[in-house]
Amino acid sequence: MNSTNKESQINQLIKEKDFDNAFNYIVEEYKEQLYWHIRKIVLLHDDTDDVLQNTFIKVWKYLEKFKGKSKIYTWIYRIATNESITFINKKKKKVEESISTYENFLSNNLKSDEYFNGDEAQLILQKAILNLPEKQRLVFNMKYFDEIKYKDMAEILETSIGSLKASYHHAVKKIEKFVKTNPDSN
Amino acid sequence: MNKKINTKNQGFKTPNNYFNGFYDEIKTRIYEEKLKEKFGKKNPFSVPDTYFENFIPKNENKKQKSQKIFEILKPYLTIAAGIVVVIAMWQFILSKTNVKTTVINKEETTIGNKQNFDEYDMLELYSVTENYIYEGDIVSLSEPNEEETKFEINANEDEISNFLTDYSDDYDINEILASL
Repeated sequence: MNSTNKESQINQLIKEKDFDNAFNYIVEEYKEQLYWHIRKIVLLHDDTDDVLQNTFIKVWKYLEKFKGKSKIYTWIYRIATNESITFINKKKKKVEESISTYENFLSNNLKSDEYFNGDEAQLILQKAILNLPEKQRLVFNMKYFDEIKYKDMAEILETSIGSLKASYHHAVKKIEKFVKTNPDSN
Repeated sequence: MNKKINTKNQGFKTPNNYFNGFYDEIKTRIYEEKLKEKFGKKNPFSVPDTYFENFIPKNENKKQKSQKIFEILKPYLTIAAGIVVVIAMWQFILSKTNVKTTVINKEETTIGNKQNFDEYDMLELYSVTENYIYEGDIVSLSEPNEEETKFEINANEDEISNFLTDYSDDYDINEILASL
């Protein structure tokens, strides 16, 4: 069954107020996509698991209020994105009280994370992404890795397509520059 | 035939502001291609074995637990609800009876007792009057009107005096007279 069919099936279940089954479908259909979306924002597996759980708790909580004005897919991506940002901001506060910056903390932990299989070049790329401002980071991950259309991205991040294109342009430019100036990446 | 032809765009049009961000878009594509060449799109992250296969949202666990608890408690809850309904109905009926009781005045009670004297034995009569008085005392807080409390005494003063003298062993005559 393709994702459009699945999406309309979920919508139908919500209309029929069969929230249990609608939720089960959502979890089955989107758990992996959402995991990877969140993982690219928070980077560590354990943190991703926490955020993914929080995301599904929110989805369950607000499923009854979902009116179908947007796609299920963009709605849950928006929840996941917001949950990830909230999580990062909380952790940032905690980490930056004791250690230097959260970005440094993350890139140091990433190296020793048992669920990071990237080589040195991949690590440089992740560090370059970590150096981006929050919005550019989100847009870069969603466009470069997930190939999400600007139209959907605009719905998820609640912003205009023009602003997204500008963010992506700045992001790739900055990453390119970071990689060039970082001798380890060659 | 000299038909004017727009040699510049030959009738074709572009979306508004199409060329405005054109340069930036091309540059973006160039940077992107460079990154793809260098790093590809390979996902450098991994997950623990069978993470997705065993993934169950925590709220699902909670929901299942609460459903189980509800299933266990269901018969007890039904009985409790039944008891509550019976008590509520009983309270309702009782409150209706109390309202009726307050309406019954002393005179009616006396008449009622007289009329039914032959039909009830003394014990039943006693319990009925006691009930009226008891309920009335508790519920009726309004003052009784004058007519209801008025007693008709068909005896002259001498007869009363004689009556009291006959029972003078039981009562202190002076005390009663003083109270009158």
